[in-house]
Formats: sequence, C-alpha cells, structure tokens
Amino acid sequence: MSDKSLQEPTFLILTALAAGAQHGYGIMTDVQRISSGRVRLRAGTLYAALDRLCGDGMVEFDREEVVDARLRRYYRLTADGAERLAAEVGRMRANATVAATRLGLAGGTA
Amino acid sequence: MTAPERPQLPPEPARTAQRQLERGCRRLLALYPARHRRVHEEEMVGVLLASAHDGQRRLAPRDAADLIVGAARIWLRRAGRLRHPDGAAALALLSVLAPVLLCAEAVANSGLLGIVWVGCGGFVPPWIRLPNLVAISLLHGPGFWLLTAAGPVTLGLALCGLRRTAAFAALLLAGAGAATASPVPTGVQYASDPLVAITLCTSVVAAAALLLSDGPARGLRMFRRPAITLAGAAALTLAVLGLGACFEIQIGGHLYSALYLIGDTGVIHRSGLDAAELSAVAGIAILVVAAARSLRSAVGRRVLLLLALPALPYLLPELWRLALADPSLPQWLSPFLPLVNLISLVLFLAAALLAALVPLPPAWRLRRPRWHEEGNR
Repeated sequence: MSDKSLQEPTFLILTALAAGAQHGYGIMTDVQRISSGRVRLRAGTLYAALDRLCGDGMVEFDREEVVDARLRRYYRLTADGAERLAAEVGRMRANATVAATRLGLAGGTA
Repeated sequence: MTAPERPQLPPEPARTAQRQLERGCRRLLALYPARHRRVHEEEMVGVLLASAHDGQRRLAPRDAADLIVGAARIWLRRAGRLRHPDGAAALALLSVLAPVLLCAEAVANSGLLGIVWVGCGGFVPPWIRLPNLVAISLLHGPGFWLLTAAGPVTLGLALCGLRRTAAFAALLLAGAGAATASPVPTGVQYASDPLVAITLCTSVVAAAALLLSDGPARGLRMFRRPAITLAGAAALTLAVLGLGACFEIQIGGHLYSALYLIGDTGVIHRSGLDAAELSAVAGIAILVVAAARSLRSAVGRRVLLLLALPALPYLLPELWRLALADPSLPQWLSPFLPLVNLISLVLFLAAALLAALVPLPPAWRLRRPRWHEEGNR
C-alpha cells in the first residue's frame, strides 16, 4: 500500500463512502457537507477521482438504479480503500497530536 | 437493477432548458475516452443536471473547465498505463533498433562508407583514397561529428547496459550537434536538413525507448531467429552503404556527390554508382518485405510506427520542395516553406509525444481495474 498521503478530495470521497454506498451526486453533496462547504467537487474532478480510485481498487461499483429517467450508479468502499483511509486517519491524527502538543508547549499553559 | 420509476416531467420551458444543458454536457463528455463514456456518461449527465439550477441552459464555465480537465486527466492516466504487453515489447525492441538506426543514419549521411563501398565495388581500394576521407573530416564542422558520434556512442552504451547514460548521450550529442551544425535563427529551418533533422529526431525516439522500456537486454532477447536478424542487418547495411554512395553530401553549403570525392575516372564512377544503386535497391527491397511482414504482429506495427517518426520532419518539407519544383505550381507558394517546416516540426513533436505516451509497463505489474467489467455488466 502506498505511503503517499491522500489528497483532500480523495480523502473526502473515501470518507463519504465510508458511511455506505453512494451515487455520484450523493458523494458531491456529502463531501460539501463533510468539509463544511469548503470543498465543492465538480463532476469532472469527481469522476476522474472515481476512475483512479476504482483502478487502484479502493472503490468499486455497487449497484445502479434509474431515478427520474436518469441513471444512478452507486459506489462503495473496498476493504483496501477502508484500510487506506484508516491509515490516512492514523497519520493525520499523529500529525495533529504532535502539532497540538507543540502548540501547547509554544503557547505555554499559564 | 431496480425498476425504473416514472419520471416526473418538469414544465415545457424547463424541459427545453434542460435539453439544451444536456446537449452542452454531452458535447464536453465527448472528450472522454469511449470506454469511460460507455460506463459513466449517463450518470455524469445526471449529476451535471442535478447540480444545475432551475432554467440553466448552459454549463457554468468552471464546470465546463472541470470537465475538460477531468477528460485530460483520464486520457493521460490511461495513456500512462496502457496495459497491452505488446507495447512494452515494442519499446524494448525499439531500444535496440533506434540506436542501430542512429548509427546507420550517421553512416549514410556522412557518405564515408559509401565511398569505401564504391571503392571496394568500383575497383579502387579505399586506403588509396584516404586523403579524400581526411579532407571530408576537415571540411565538416564539429556539429557534424557530434551528430555522427551520437549513433555509435548510444549503441555502445546501450549494449553495455547503461541505458540511461545512453539515452542522455543520444540527446546531448544530437542536440549539441544540431545546435552547432545548423545555427539558423528561426529554429525550425533545421527540419529541412536531412542529417540534422533525422538524426535529432531518431535520437529523441532512441532516448525515449531507452528510458521508458525494460532495456535493450530484453529487446535483444526478442531476436529469437538469428537468421532473420542477420538478414535484416545485412539489408540495412546494403541500403545504408548504397544510399551513402548515391546521395550527395553537403559540405560548407555546397553539394558534392560522394562519388565525386573519389575523384576517379568516369568508368570507375559509373561502375561504383551501379553497384551502389543495386545494393541500395536490394537492401530497401528486403527492408520493405521485412516491414510488410512485421505489420502482421502488434509489436511489429508499433515498432514500425515509432521508427517512422524521425522521417516526419524531413519528408513534409522535402515533398513541398519537390512540389515547388513543378513549374505548373504558382511560385507565390514558396514563402510558405518555413510554415511547412513548422508544421512538420509540430507533427513530429505530436508524434514524439504519442511515442512518449506509449510507456507500456509489463502486464504483470498492473492490476486490471475491476470497475470496467462491473460497469459493463
């Protein structure tokens, strides 16, 4: 598994799918919600990321349905994807802990 | 798949706007690879329409730009990991053949071996004419010798297993040779000089093959039939020697026949020329047959395509020049020659980019993406 850290949109897509299978538009809205509106994925970026994540085996096709005459394809996180996301969470947590500790030391406790 | 729900139709003006927006989306989605479109086009259209506000008729510029960038990313990613093992084999083969071709070009362009050939075939021992060879070497500038050295140096380093060094040597020697051999201010005129253009372009192809392939060692292992390999090498030698003798060479802005430099009588000249022409025709005929045979395999087709790249920047300006030589054509076309040179250069760069995008890693290194099969179910 790659040691390279995930880019934020990728991290957010995997996070969105960690709660369960979602379709493209659902992932877009969920990512916006998770990032408190800071990150807004567009269709080109989302599907380029999904193409890569599917190719890397982190995300896979789940099912499809037709709503209002429009096709919706659902994607889900794979075991590899969950493992990669967990590793990234651990890495970010460790970094955040160090940063918080140092800020605490630098800022003083008085 | 669940049963389709009955669509709730919006009012007519909204439907018209939606159709217009959908057409715009599909126009941009046409930029995506066919396989991607087959799997994702409908859902992407759905997502784009769902993201649009009521009555929106056109994609927002940022959404359009995002789709274009997304298409470029997917194309580049796919090009970078084309999975067909034939490509890897073709590149490995090319990492041997391109340096050999570089050597052959240097020999053909220098005319030196042509003179030796004519000397042998035309009854004049080459050592007798040694002063002429020295004269040629003195007349040529350092750029010529840098270009000529590119082939042997690259091939030698590649066969020693130093493929990265060989690749950089090819680029360095050919680049430095081109820069010093043809100090033309426009920067594109070099495309009309056969020695500089073809050697430079072949060195780019050789460097790309050396850097991106598994190396010449794998390429050499692919020569499984020594008889065919020997026949190919003999044909290339015949063609190169013959052409080297037939062609004129350019020294200090003047054209000289390689045979002229023999400085011998007309009888010997004619005999030598006949021998040279015969060998060139025989060699080329064998090479054409070999090329036709290699078209049968995917590896052969790729190798031929990549080997043909160096001819591009030379052929187009030459064809244009030949056309201009026809008196029935209006002479006002001649100022457009630099433009033709530029187009030729752009064509080559595009083709070189294509060649650079054929770095096909061996199939076993890659995982086939699962979603393609699943998406096509």
